[in-house]
Amino acid sequence: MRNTMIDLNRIAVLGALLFTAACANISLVPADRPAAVGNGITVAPQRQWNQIKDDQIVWTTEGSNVDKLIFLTGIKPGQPLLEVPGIKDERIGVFDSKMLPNDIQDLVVGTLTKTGYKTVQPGNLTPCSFGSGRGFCFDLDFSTRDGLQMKGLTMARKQGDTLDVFLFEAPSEYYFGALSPTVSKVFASVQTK
Amino acid sequence: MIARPLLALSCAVWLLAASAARAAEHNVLPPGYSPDMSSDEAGLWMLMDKEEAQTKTSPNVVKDEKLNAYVSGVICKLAGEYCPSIRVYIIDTPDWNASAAPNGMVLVHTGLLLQVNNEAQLAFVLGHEITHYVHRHSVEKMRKTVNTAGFMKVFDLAMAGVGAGVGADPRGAMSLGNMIGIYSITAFSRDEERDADDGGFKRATALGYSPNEASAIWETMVAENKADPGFSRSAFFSSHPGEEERAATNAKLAAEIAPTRADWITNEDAFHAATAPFIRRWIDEELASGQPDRSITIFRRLAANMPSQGIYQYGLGEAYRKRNKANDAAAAENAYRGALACPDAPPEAWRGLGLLAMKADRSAEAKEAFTQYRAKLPDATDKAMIDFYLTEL
Repeated sequence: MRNTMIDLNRIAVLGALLFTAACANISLVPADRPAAVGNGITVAPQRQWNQIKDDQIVWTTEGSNVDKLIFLTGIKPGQPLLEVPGIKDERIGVFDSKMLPNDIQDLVVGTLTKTGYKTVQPGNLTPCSFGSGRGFCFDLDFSTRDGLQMKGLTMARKQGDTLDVFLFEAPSEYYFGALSPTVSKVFASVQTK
Repeated sequence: MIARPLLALSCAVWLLAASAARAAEHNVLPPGYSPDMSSDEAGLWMLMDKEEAQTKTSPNVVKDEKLNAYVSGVICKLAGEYCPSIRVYIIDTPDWNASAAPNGMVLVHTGLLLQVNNEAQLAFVLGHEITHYVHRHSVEKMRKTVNTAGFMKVFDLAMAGVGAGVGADPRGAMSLGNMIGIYSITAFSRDEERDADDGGFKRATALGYSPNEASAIWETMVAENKADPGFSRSAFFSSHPGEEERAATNAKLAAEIAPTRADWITNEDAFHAATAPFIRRWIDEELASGQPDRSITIFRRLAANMPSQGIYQYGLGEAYRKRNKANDAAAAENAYRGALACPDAPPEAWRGLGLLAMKADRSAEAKEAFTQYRAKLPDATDKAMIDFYLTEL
C-alpha cells in the first residue's frame, strides 16, 4: 500500500553483510585465555567461540545467523552503535554523552530495529558491575523478520564520553537458554584497564 | 542511422501505451473463484498459499479474537460477496500498511490501526486492498513483468544492432532497454494503484463511509512525508502514485459525492473501542522503530485529534526525548506535562520528566518525578535503575 525505501535499505544491508562475511576475518577464540574485546577491556571466554572481526568483534558458537555476542566498544558521542549500510548515522540514532541508561537502552532498541528486527522489547534494566566499575544490564525480546522469536542480554557502561555495549542475541528456542549462562559468566569476567 | 533508433523508440512508446491501456481493463475475479491448476495464476496462488501457511504460524500475527473479528467485520462488509474468500491477518508491525494477495490473504499492519483516525479511514484502505484482489492486480502485474522482460530483450538486441545514434556502446543501449522496461512496469503498477483507490472509494462510500476521510488519509500522508527528512520517492520509477495526487483525486471524488447524502459515517467510537486495548503496545512499537521524526509527526497529529487522551502526548514526549535534538528536551517536557494533565496519563510520563530533569541537573525535580513514577508503577521493569538514580540525586 505504501511505498517506502525500507525494503531497498534491507537489500543494501543484506548485500553489505554478505560482502562483509566474505571479507571478514574469522578466527577461533580459545576458552582458556583472556580475550581483548576493545577499549582496553578483556573477558574470559568460558568456552571456545568463533570470532568474526570486522568493524566490531562478534563471537558466535553456531554461526552469526543463529547466535552472536557483539562487543561494541569505544563508541564516541555522535557515533551510532552500529553502522547500517544505506542509513545515515543520525537516522540510526547516535550516542550522546549525556545519555542515561534508559536513553542508551532506547538507543539499543532503535538500532536493533533499524537492522531489521521486529517488536524489540527491553526489560529488567538494572545497575550491574562492569569489571571493577559500574555499568547497567537489560534483557531484550524481539523477533526476526521471519517471525523467529529471539532473546537478548545486554551489558553496558558509560565511562566519561565513551560507551561500551556488549550485546548477546540468540533464538529463544533452545539456543538462548543453552548459551546465556555462559554469556553471563563472560559478562561477569570483564577486566578493564 | 538516426531513423532506426527512432523507429525502435517509437515501438517502445507504442508498447508502453498499449500496456497502459491494458492496465485499465481488469479481468474481474468471479466470487468463489479458484484458478485452473495448469495456469500461471494457479502457480501464483500456490506461492501465496505457502506464504499464508507461514503467516498463520508467525508470532507476529495478532491473535486477539475481538480485534480480528472487528477488522474482519469491516473487510467483510466492504468485500460483500467476496467475503468468504478473504482471510485477514493482523501483523504486529508499526509500519502504516496493508496488502492483499491474489489468493485472498489480506494483511493489515498494526501501524495502520494506530494511525488512522476512524473506521471510515480504515475502510478506504481496506477497500483499496479488496480491489487489488478482485481486479487480480497481482496476476496482471506478474504477466506484465514476464512480457516486459521479453520486450526488454528484443529492444536491447535492436538497439545493439543499430549501434550509433542512441549509443554506440551496447551497454548504453542495454540500460535504456532496462529503464524503459522498469518504467513500463512501475507505470502499470501506478495505474493499478489508481484503480484500487477508485475501487476502494466506491466500496467504502457505498457503505456510507464519509468520502472526505479518503482524501484526509492522503493529506495526512503528504504532511507526514514532508516532516520526515528520510522520506524520498522517485516519481518516475515509483510503484505508487504520489500522495498529493491521491489526496487530490479523492478530494475531487468526495466533492462530487458528498452532497448526495447527509448521513455519512466515520464509526469513530466503534473503531476506538476495538483498538483501545492495544494502543499502548502499538505506541511502544512505533517508538521502538527508531524513527523519531516520523513518530513525532504521528503523535503530534494523534494528540491534536484526541487532546483528552494522554497516551498520545506521552508518545510525543518519548519521541522528542529519543530524537534528542536541540529544543527537543523542552518539547518532550511539554508533552509529558500535557499527558499528565489527562486522566489516562501513563506513569512513564513521570519517568520521562525525571530523565529530562536529571540530565539538566535539576535534581529535586528529577527526584520528585522518579518518586511519582515508582509510586504509580511499583513493578516497573526498570525499577532497580530508577532506584539507583534516586540514590544518585
